[in-house]
Amino acid sequence: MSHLEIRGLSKQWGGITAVKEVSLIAERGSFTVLLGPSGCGKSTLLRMVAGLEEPSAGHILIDGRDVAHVDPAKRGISMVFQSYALFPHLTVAENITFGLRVRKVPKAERNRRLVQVAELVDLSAYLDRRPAQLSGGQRQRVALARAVIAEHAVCLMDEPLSNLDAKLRHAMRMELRALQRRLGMTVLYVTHDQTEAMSMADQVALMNGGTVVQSGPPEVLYKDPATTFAARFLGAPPMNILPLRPVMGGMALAADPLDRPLMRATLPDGCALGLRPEDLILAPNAPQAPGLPVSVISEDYHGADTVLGLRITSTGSADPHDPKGEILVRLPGRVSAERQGIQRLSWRDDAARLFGPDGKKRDPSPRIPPPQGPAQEPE
Amino acid sequence: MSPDRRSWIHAWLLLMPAAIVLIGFTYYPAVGTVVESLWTNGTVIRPSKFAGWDNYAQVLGDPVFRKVFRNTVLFALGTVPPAITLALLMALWVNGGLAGRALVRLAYFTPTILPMIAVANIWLFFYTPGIGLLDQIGHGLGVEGHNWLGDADTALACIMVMTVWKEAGFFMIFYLAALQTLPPDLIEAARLEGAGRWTIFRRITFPLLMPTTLFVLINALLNSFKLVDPLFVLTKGGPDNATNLLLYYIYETGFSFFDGAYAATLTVVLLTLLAGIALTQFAVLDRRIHYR
Repeated sequence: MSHLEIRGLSKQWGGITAVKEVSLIAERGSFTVLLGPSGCGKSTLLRMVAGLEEPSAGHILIDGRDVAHVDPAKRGISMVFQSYALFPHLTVAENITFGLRVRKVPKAERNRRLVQVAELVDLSAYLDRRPAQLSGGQRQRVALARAVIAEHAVCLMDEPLSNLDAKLRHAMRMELRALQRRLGMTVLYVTHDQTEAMSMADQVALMNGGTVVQSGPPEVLYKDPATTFAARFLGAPPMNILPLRPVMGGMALAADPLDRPLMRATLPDGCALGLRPEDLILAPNAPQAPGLPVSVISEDYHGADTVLGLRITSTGSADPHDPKGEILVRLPGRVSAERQGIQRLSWRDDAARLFGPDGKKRDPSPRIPPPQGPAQEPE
Repeated sequence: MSPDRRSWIHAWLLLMPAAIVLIGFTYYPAVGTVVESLWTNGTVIRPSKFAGWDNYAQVLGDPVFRKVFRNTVLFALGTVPPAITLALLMALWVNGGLAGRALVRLAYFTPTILPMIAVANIWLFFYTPGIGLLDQIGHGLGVEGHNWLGDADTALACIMVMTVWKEAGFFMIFYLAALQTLPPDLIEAARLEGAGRWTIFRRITFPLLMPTTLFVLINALLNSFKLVDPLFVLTKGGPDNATNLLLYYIYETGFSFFDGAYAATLTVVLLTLLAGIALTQFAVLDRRIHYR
C-alpha cells in the first residue's frame, strides 16, 4: 500500500480557479477525507488525482512517482463513484472483474480473487445478478468490490455513501472503515458530510474556495479550528462565533447590552469569541450567581440532547422572534427551560477560542475564562 | 336511464370519432384485403367468385414475385446493416468534442429532411449516363461512361446506395440521443480500469446502445420492405424487374394490371412477412438486450 502526496496542485477553467495550489500528504494505509461545502473544489481535486481531469499546475506523487500527467489506468489507483458507475448490462461478477478482464488476468486468478473479494464485501450470493436487481447498499458493495479487487495502491472515493438512506449510511461507514483497516488501503475520500469525516478519517483536509483551510486529525480540527469557517463547518450545531468589541476595561461580547468586560486585554476591532455549544453551562439565576444573564428564545429537542437558543439580556425581556445574536447551547436530555426566566450562562475552562478580524485563530490565544463571580446585576 | 348505462353511452360517444377513422381507414381495409385475397378478380363479364387458396398458390408459382422477393431481401441486406453502421459511426463522431459539430450534425441530418422524391431526383442527376455527375467525374479520370440505372447489374445497387445515404442521418439522431443519455461515470470507470477506446466501445457503449439498435433495426427493416417512392422516379422497377421491390410490384399489380385480388394477396403476404420480422426480432433480441 502506498503513499500519496499532492504538491501545489491547481486547476483553472478559463478564468475560474477551481483548485488553488493544494498540497496534501496521505500516509500509507491512512484514511484521508477531503471535506468541504459544494463547489469548494474537493471533487475536482479527487478527479485530478484519478486522472480524469488534467491539472493546470502541480504534482501528484504516488510512492514518489509523479503521475500528474500519466494515463489514469497506469496510476495504480481505483475509484468508487458517487453514482457507483456500475455497468448495468453486466452481472455483479462481471462488474467486479471488469478491470481484471481488461488487463487480461488469467481466468483462474480472476475467479480466485472474485471469490475472495465477494466474501469480503458479503456479495457471494448475488454474483449472478444485474445491478438493477440489487438494493442501494448492495450496489455500493459492488462498487467497493470493484475498487478492492484491483489491489491498487490508492483508492479514491467520491461521496460514495451519499445515495444511501441514513441508517444504511451509518452501517456502511463502519464497514468501509473496517475494510480499509483490514486491507491497509490508502484512501482519499471526498464528502460534504462532516459526520462521515469525523467517524472515518485519520486525517481531514477541510477545503473552501479551492484551498485547504486546515488539515489534521478530526479531533484537532474540532477542538482547535484554525478559522471561523472551520469552526462553523464542523459540529452540529456549529460553534458559536460571538463578535467582541472594546469597552471600558477590556473586551465585551458585542451582543451584551451591558458591556460587561470578559477580559482585560484590548484587541483589534472585529475579533470574535468561539464557543462550542456543548462547552456552555447554563445555571439557574440567583442574585449572586456567576455568568451572563441570558433568556431562552428557542428550544430544539433531539432525543439525547436539547439545543437551546439563548440571548444575552439586560432585563430578561428578550424579543423571542429575533434570532440575531443567538447563542446555541447543547444540554443532555430533555431540558424544559423556563422560557421567560433569566438563566446564567458560563463556559468550561479552556473552552473559549479567539478569532482575529481576518477569521483566523489568534495565536497565541489569550485564555478567556468564563465570567467569574457575581456579574453585574441588571438594575 | 341508469347512471351506469349513461356513462357507457358517454364512453362510446367519446370513442366514436377515433373509432370511425380507425375502422374506416385501417380495420375495414385490412379485413377487406384479406377477404379479397380469397376471391378471384371480378370483371363485368366474369363476376368475382370464391377462390380459396388459389391466389396464394399463384404467388408461389409467380416467377416475377420470386424475383421481386429476392430483390427485396437483397435490398434489405444491402441497406440495413450499412445504414446502421454508418449511423452509429456518425453518431460517435459528432458526439465527441469536435469543432463545429453542430454543423456536421446538421449536414448528416439534411438527407432526412428531404422528401424521398426530391432525393431520387438528385440521385437521378448523379446516375444519368453521359451528363450525370458520376459519369462526368469518370470522364475526368478517363473512365468510360456507364448507364448505372439502365444496367440490370448495377441498378439495384444504385438504389441501395441512395437509400443508405438518405436513412443513415435519421438513424444517427437516435444513436446520438442514446449516447447522450449514457452516464459519463461509466466511461470514466472503464477508463480507470484500463480499458482503451475500442474496449470501452465493445464492452460498454455498444451493449448499452442495444435497445436503440433494436429499435433502429426494426425500423430500417420495415422501411426497406416498404420502400417504393424512388422507383417511380428512377427505374419504374426495371430493367427487367431488376429493381422491382415488393411494394412497387403490389402497386403495379393493383393499379397498372388492375388485378385487385392478386394485389390483395401480395399485400397479405407482405404484411405477414413484416409481422414475422418484427416478432422474431423482439423475441430473439429482447432476451439478449439489457433494458435500463
